[in-house]
Amino acid sequence: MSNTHKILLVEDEPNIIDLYSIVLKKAGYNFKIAVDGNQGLQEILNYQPDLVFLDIMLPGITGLDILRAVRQDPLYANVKTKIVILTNLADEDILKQIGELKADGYILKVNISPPDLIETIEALLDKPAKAN
Amino acid sequence: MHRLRVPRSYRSRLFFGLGITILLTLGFGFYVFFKSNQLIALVQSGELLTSSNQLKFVGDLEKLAQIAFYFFSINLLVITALLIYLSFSLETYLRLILSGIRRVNTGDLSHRITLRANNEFGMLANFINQATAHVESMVNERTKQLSAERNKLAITLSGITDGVIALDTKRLIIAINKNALSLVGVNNEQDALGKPIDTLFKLYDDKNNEIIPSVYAPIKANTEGVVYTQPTTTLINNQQSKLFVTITTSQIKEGPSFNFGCILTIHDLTESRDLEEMKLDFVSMAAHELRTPLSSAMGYLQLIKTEGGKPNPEYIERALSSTKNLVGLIDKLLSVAHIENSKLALSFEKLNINSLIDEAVRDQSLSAKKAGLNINIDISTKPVYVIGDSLRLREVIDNLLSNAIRFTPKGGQIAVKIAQNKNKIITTVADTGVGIAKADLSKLFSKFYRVDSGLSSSSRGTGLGLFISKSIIKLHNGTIKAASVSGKGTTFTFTLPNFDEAKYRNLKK
Repeated sequence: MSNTHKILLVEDEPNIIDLYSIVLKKAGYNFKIAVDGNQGLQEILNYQPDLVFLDIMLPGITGLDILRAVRQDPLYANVKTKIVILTNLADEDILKQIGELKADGYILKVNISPPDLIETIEALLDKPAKAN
Repeated sequence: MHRLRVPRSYRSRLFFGLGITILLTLGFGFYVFFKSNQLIALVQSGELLTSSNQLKFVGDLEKLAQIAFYFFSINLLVITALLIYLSFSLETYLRLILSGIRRVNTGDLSHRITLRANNEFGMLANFINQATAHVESMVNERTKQLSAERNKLAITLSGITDGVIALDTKRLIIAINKNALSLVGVNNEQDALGKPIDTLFKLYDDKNNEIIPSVYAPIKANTEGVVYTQPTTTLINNQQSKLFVTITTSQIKEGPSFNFGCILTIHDLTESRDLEEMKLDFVSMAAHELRTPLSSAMGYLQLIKTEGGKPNPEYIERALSSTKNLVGLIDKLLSVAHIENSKLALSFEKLNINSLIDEAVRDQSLSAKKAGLNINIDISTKPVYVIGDSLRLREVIDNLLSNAIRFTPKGGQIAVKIAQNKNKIITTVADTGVGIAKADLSKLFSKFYRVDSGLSSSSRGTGLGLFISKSIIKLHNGTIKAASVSGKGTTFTFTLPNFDEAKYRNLKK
């Protein structure tokens, strides 16, 4: 199984990075990993992913800052990437901000299994791709 | 000793003077009567016809006239002198007494008239002095009572844990208690009294609009009781500090139509609100921290499930290590609960602190290396013994080391050192990290406190590590403190008492 979609995983927790790497590799996706906020922002421009899984608590710039930059900063005006927040934070305040910044999805890490992750990717990327 | 009192009253002096005058007049009268009788007898006897007798008669008559003249002159002089003396001494006495009364009148109740005369004026002065003394003691008594009442009121006001401010109808401050002074950031009562209320602080509602005095301190006719209340208001005080307060205003009505002003009660919510925020922060952070290893463990287990067949030992290892992290976190939470209930049980033993710390450093050197940090260790090879709980002390040193690793940028240094003096063993963990702001230093060891409450992963943590560390060190009769220069680094120092053989033997019993 091969896939042309590119996925960026912005995550700093080694156990989670390894877990999602295994899952994405098995599903045959192209993906890259950024381990902090600055790297994440750079890779969004350089790697031009179709989908970003974005953690909120990151070294340096937070996931919310990245989301805000991509949605509001003219530098990222041409970025069409979908952004799914993948975190273990569930504050009302954060949920509100995620909603306002129009993230394409919000997943609580603790609630998602490897098959769910793939399903989410397919729902966001593959189906509209097939429709095109 | 009884002293003979010479009557020196004015009445007696006056009577004495008059008596002398009357006696002189009577004496003269008798003399004139006797002399004139002699002369009449002389005239009747016809002896007046001889010239020698005529001469004698005329001589006697002249003498009589002379005596009468001297007598009246002397009498006039005596009476005049008496009157002059009377008027002068009366004036002197009256002046003395009047000036005394005037001084008392101006309020000097301690003044006494100094008139040591054994007469009516002396008595009058004495009487006035006594009356003044009586009034003075009464006034003193009343003043004492009043000031006691005032003190009671002041003590009552200062004893109220809320700030209380009384305003007159022009919204000028007429009374303010100690707590209100500290809330509005004014040191001296005199700096507040008589000032308009809005010169001391400003109030803002939750939309950050200013609330004006006529709203929070209304002066309405014929109203009594609570006239304004706002459960959460922002107060910016004289020192530009921001406080969260509850404001309640009640109005005072004196008489049917006269409003006395109003009383503001300021209840400070800042601390409880901060604690509430820290607690909420803690709950969401604790949830996050618990979910992190849990998501990893669940992920690997689900991976094993979806793959089927013989599980990949790597996945099992990952799931296990995540579960171990989870257990560690739950232990931490339980420690806090135990500290709260003073039930944190330590098992003391004789242990070598040098090897304990050496081991901890070695265990963390890998994660330090990963973070691009170097740990320098300055510990003698000679054992240094303490009475302590090895697991709990290890927790403290692990916590300090992991904080140092987390908050020190790549290429930084961490130095661990143990020194000993005759009282204690001093352990320091110093880093070249981001440092801690002065304002944060004082709160560093309090529960739930995290220096960075943002969402950066450096702020990760439950905010319990240093609180637990402090509690553990305290239970070892030691101290822990932090010193820091923002941007330069932080040094944590904890001390433990030197090994005490007698105490150790006691412990073993």
